[in-house]
Amino acid sequence: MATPFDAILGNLGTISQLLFTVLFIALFFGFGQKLQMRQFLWEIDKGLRRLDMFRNSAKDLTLKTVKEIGKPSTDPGPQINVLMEQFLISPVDMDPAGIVGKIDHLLDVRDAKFKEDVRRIAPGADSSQVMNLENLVEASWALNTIYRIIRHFYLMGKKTNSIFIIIQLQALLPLIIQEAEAYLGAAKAFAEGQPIGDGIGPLVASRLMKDKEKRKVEKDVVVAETMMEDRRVIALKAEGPGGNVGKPGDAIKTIIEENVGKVSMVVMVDAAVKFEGETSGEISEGIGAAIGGVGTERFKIEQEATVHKIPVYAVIVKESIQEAITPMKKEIMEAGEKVIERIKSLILERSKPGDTIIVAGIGNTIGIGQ
Amino acid sequence: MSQPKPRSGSSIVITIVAAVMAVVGLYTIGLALNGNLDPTIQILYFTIAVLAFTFVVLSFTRMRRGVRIGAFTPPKVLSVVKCGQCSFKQIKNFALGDFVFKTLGKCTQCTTGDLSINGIYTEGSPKK
Repeated sequence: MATPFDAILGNLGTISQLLFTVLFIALFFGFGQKLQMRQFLWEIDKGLRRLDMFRNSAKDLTLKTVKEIGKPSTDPGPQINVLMEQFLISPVDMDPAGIVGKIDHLLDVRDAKFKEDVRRIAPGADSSQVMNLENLVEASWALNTIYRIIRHFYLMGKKTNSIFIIIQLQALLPLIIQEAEAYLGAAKAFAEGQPIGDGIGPLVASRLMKDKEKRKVEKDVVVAETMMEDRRVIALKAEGPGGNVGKPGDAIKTIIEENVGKVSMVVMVDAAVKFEGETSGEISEGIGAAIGGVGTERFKIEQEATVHKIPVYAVIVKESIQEAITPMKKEIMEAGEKVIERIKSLILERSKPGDTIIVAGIGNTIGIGQ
Repeated sequence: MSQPKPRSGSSIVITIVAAVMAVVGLYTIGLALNGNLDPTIQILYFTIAVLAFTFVVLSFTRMRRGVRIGAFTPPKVLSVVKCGQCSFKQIKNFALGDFVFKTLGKCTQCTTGDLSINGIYTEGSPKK
């Protein structure tokens, strides 16, 4: 007599097929999104742990460097922790008139406070080292902020079970980790005072002003005069070798005023972010003020150039965002000579002998003297 | 600066699961190739084997990506020392306190020119 067990055995194929179909439907239609979200959360969790590792590495490096260079009498840890949580409240932009001045003032106050704080926690550091330490603390601050923001959205996504927050975070995470890695590289460069990719502008300016008499204009900007193709060239850069970008907008304004507006052109040399697929160290030429940041310095240059009808040309060296903040690559350094050649041809084409030309090397001058 | 390695706990778990799945895959493919079985059961075994091998392949390709992103080592930085008078040029490892246009004393070759750091750079992209 056939038992129910025999019947099951006899139809094993059909039953297993049915079970498999039910399992497939349940997994892919019922729990598919949940499973995917769980997988994304794992990935974000892994990324978050790496970001935590990066920020701790940067913080340890900051502490170590401050202790080595600054020779503080007390433990600088708590003070560094305070600096890590620092923030800036941007001015109200409902009435945008005069907002550039307000932002500029805020940035000046922030810069002065930051520098003063760093000087206090590292009393043994000289002015150049204070600049480097300031940059180092800023890199650690950036890593700490990235970690806090990502953790916020990760926990928020987990708490609200929102797949849209999770998907966006998971999609952006590789790029964010890449940027964080670059900041870690930057922290190392700042700790040791190595030139970074962004320093190509100051490197070109320093080559032009080598062995020439220098003077300081405005905040942390040095200027030297040289002759190039029978033209008077006024080269300027942030004062190095400490990590510094200076205020080239104010410096260009001062130089134009000193020359009563008789400047035939301004050439700005800066590093610019390349597109994927482009070669690092490639040079491009354009019109306009090549300077990054919030925009206050660019505003000043554009305004002054417009008032005196001075053409502003830009020579840029292409590099990735990672290359811009990590130690300078050989191909970027070698682009410096080509930039000088490009400036020469620009000067020959666009000015007459005897003209006065401003060449501004824009960027962080860490590890580059003058 | 020595970089602590990223935690690799999840990779170990995935490796163990992948190894189990590989064994399951091999066993079921062996069963599927047995000609004495019902064709429906053979298809079932074959499906399980394919799923097991797919898991193994996917988990290993994912892990390789993880390793590629994980190991970041800081690049080696070099200083180019040049004499202002003669053709002397030396490339040395970057030392703390080096900066571009730092004077390092008299040239050992011509004894008259000043040695200075002409450039500081890193070769190649940072290893990842």
